[in-house]
Amino acid sequence: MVEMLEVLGLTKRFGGLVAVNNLTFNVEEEEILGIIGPNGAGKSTLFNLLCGFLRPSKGQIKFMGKTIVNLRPDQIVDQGLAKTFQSNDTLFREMTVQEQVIMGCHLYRKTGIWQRLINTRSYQEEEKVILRRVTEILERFGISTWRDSITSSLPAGTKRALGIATALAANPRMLLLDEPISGMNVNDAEILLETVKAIRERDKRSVLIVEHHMKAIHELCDRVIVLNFGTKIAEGSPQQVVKDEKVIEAYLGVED
Amino acid sequence: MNRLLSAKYLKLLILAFFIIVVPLISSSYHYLHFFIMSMIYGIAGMGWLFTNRSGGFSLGQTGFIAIGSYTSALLTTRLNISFWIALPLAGVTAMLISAMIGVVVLRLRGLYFGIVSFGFAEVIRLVISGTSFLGGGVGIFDIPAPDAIIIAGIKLLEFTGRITLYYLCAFLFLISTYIFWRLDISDWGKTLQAIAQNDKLAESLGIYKMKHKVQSFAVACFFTGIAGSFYAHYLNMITPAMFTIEQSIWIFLCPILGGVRSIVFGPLLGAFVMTIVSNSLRGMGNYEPVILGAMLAVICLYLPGGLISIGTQIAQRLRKM
Repeated sequence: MVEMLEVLGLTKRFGGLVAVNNLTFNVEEEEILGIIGPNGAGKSTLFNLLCGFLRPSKGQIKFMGKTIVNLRPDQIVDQGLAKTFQSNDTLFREMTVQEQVIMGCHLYRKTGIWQRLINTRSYQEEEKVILRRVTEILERFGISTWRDSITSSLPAGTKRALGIATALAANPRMLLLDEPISGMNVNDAEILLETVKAIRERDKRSVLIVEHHMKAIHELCDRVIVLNFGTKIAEGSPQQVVKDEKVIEAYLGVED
Repeated sequence: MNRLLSAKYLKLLILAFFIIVVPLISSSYHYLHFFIMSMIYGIAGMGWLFTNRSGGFSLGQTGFIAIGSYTSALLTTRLNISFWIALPLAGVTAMLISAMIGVVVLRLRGLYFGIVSFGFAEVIRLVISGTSFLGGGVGIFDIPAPDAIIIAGIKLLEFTGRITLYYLCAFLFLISTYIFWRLDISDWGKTLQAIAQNDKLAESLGIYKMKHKVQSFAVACFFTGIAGSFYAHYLNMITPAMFTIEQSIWIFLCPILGGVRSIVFGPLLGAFVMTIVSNSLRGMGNYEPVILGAMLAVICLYLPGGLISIGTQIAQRLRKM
């Protein structure tokens, strides 16, 4: 197994608060890893560190053997590590569904500003190729009927699907999902989980899911890491982890 | 797709046709002056709108008009350089300065960017007023009209009359319109809108936010500088008092009044209406800004899409009735 993502001794301090404390884990190829934890466990901080929106105070993040801690968010995506945000943050609110997925293909583009200016043949060809790809993606995620709707008018489940479709448009090697099913109804959540499974099965990609609820991703993940107060308190298969005493304690509190 | 594209080109051709026809109707001084000023502000307004596409609300566009017009005026009066060389140099100077400040200032969002850009324009104005080499508070006079185009000893075009100046302005306007329009409808322009709507998501799709912002600002200011250069040679004189916050406000009112959706028609229409209204209010003295302000408020309230949307608005109202 090749390691896609390696996190070594990752620490992030905000003043006196240690949000992520000496965290070490890895994600293997074609693996679905879940990171769960109660409120304030440091999940969002971890997500932002992996995306490049925050710089770690200490530690190393390696993606496919290359360190990414000093890269800008857009450079990290260029390396092949894509992500989706929580609910409404996954949208360009005034664009149509198709326009948004076209934006997702940004990294595909090779033509420069001058070619756009005079509308060269190569630019038009590129537009056609991208449009074809976008059509494919929309069909795959079952949102082609929404093609020309404004993104902010979509139902919640479709918004999430659109978020993932947009992230996959650039054909990343690995996908980070930030609370993909929070606030969703059971039906939508199931569809979404199927989608995530397909990303592994069909595209052979790794997925890292950051979630609040254990139950939701129980079936989906190969391996789960539980965070509390910024440190890893348990790691293993979902079945093992739910039985772990420390985990139960973190979620439910200690019995007197 | 092809049909749609040609329909878009058609719009541009119609605009070009109207602009070319204007002097044939009348060549009176005031009449052409209206159109020339509208086109100058139209270019600056398009530049503002282009900057605004990525979310910046610039209050300092007058600074770049000033940079353009002073560069060009100084080069032609002090160094006797031809207008045809000074014109692009004015644009390039504005572009370089905008890129340099942009790298720092464009990190600020929304109105914060506006405040700093306003400060920048004021600094430019004060520096000019205080430097005697730049003409000081008095300004620069006797700026020559654009040099005649002479090929092989034959004078092809002279820019002494109003009509030739009009066509020169129209030429500059149409070129900048084409470039702004082409960029605006391309995916590159869409990228700017993406940054304005959700910059974190844009970044997470691999868009280098700062690069796009600085590039668009630089392109916008290049043409603003060109407009400034023409402005100086058209009026034959410039003073620092022309480049106050009032002019910045004028520049951003043009696209807002005309409509921000279309980069081609909105700014020009807005500039045209503003020029006419402010000229017909000349006699009102201090009430002029009050009336302009009231007009703007009414348009923002009842025509959020700008004057350009008046047709569709009326159609909608009628359908409801």
